[in-house]
Amino acid sequence: MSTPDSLPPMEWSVSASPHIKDRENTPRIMWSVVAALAPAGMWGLYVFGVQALYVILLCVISAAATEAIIQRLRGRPVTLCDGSAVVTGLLLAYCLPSASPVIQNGQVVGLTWLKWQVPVVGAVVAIGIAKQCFGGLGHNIWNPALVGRAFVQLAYPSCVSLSQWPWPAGRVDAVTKATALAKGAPAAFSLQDLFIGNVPGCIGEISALFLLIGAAYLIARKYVNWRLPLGYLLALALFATLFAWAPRHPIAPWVNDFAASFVQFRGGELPLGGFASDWLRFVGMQIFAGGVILGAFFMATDMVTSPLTSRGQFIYGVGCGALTALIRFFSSYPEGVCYAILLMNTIRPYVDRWTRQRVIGQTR
Amino acid sequence: MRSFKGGVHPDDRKQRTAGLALVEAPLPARVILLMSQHIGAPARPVVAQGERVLTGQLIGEPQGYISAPVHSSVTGVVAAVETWTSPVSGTRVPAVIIERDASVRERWAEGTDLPQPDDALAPEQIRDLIQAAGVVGMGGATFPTHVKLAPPADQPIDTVILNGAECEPYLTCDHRLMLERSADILQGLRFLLRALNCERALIGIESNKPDAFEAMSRAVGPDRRIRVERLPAKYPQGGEHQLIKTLTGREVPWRGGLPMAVGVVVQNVATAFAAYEAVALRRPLIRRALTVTGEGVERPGNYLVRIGAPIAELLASAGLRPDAKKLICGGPLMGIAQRSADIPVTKGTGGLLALTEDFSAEFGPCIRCGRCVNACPYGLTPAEISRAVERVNLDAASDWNIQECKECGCCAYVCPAKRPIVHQVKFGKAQEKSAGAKA
Repeated sequence: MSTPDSLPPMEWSVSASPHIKDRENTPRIMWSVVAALAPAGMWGLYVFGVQALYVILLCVISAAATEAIIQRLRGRPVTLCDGSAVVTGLLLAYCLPSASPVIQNGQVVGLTWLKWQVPVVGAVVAIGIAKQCFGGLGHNIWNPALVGRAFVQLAYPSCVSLSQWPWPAGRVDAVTKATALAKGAPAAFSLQDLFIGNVPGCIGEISALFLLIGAAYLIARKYVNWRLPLGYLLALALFATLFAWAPRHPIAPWVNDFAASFVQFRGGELPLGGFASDWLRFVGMQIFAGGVILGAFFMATDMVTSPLTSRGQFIYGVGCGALTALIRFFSSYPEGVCYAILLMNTIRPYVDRWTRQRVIGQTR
Repeated sequence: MRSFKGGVHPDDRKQRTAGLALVEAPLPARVILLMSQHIGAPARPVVAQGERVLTGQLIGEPQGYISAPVHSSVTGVVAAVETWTSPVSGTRVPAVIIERDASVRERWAEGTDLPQPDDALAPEQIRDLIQAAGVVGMGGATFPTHVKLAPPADQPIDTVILNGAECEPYLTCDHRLMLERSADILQGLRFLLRALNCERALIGIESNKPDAFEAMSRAVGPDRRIRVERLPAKYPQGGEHQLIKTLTGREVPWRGGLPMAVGVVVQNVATAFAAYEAVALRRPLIRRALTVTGEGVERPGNYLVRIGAPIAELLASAGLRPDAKKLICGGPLMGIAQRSADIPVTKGTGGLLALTEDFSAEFGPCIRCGRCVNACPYGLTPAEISRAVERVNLDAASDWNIQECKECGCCAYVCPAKRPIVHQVKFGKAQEKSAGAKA
């Protein structure tokens, strides 16, 4: 500080504070979701083979192309690099069947490629209508992938709403099978097969294990708030029990049975017999069969269409779980995840309003 | 210790200057003394061009109660009474420019710079001395200190909090002040306690400054009224609301409530130091501690500088690098970016940053990730405020309590879409103000 000499004229950059920023950015979040979806996708490819790859590629490419074309048409910068269209494409593929059964004389004789229109139309509707029509990333009301999925379910019911689903490669007994949630005559699977994904179903939803590996990563990175899936699963278990399990079981015996297993558990053993194990199996089935894990951890948690606060996330998860149970047991659909989440998407602004944080010093 | 809700943990980047002692900066050849260096009515110049002035002489008198006097920070001649760009508002404000007379020894004005035995002063006398010395909140808010020392009778003060958190990254001048002038700060705090008839003081220091904690604890000595507290290192721990919440558990009422309402007065450690100089030494506020730092300077440091010293000179002697892109008065989270270095140090300037990193003005759409909601230390929903302002929906913005925002910048710091949320809040508030004026 000795020579107060003059300063060369400088062009200073001016902006509002803050002048430092965290490194986190939107593309990193989106590509992390892609990475978190990878394990379940790999399992889908392993189980369903090249036909699944075809569906995934068609979905992702159509989603990306739709995004680029519409952004061009709207005169907006093309933002494929942010990864959000890829996430939508992947999520759409994950809730589509990998192939279509070939039926002769009422008998399933083989599998054929899924009609190309299903993934393409699904992706165009998802990105073009559900996302870009509302203003693009961050402005959509509904989860784009689920809108795409709901659309093709109506447009191509014979390709999407299957009674006989492609059955993992290597299984010799049949090429297709009803799912564990099918109305009428559901197929029976062990909880272990349901958890690992040795079951028929959509490409990316069958393996709870691989989905949970990816979800754990997103939760660790704080991209997913664990309260939402927790609320989802708790509410699903509760309402499914109330709607379907409890009515089938006379109350007094299963209360006694639970009390007995609790006493046994305290004694160091865990031989859950009778009603308790029946109930656990029922709840396990509700959670691990169908799209609940994919829905609760990857679809409902979509940042854009879910609430902002932790409290809101939990309540929203509970709503999704309750609606899923409602649809599963009181509608003609075997599965309720897609519509449950879309319905909750619709009331998301209200949830945000009800669960507003208390302002510091707020007096009423 | 329990902390407040929200907040962020930016890299503190204090290590470059934390170990450097405060150095008296060379006297500037010329000082630019703004008449508006405080919140409230600007002072009115009481000197004319050509007049000789002494150090500490009154050159701007306060207009009204919420205002503060301005004193000459050098011995010299009034070169001009005109206007100058304020580093706070960015607009031109009345200013007195004084050329220092290098040919004479510095002389203090009559009645100033007289060390006094302090025991006999009554609360009103302390308040008057602090008011006459032009002491204002030196943490950056620059609210006139004497106003805070005169709470209404129905709001007795039971706790004085001394803010030594210094939670903004880069800045270390309060840290150095606490290390090197602990006894003086404590003396200033005791004056404040006496002025408020208050028997309890808490000194809050972030845990990343253990040496300051030690020094201040030692300086407190056997005084049972004063406790030094370690605060979690988290921005904005030094915010008035957050500090009060952390130390006392109380919440300042929203919608413009003041700390007084919960029996608390908060003063910065630098303000306590100024109060000490005002009362014990009868020295008006003519200098302050300041950190000059940032990746854009070669020789960062902590200085005691005269109010009104040209910032360009401070930068030049700190070795401004050609790759410096941004000049900030204050800290990196709440400081104000300057268009030009041709501005003076004011009573509220605690830091001078030359940053080499600049962020592109481009930002993306809000993806509703909720990071801002978790980071907001005021319990607001920045995402909704930002969206409301973006579509110029003032009703929605005020419904989401835009007026409660103190612009601490946590939301914009964490935003993955790099949205300029603080900018939007400032814009929204200004729009609301002009809409209110029209109505």
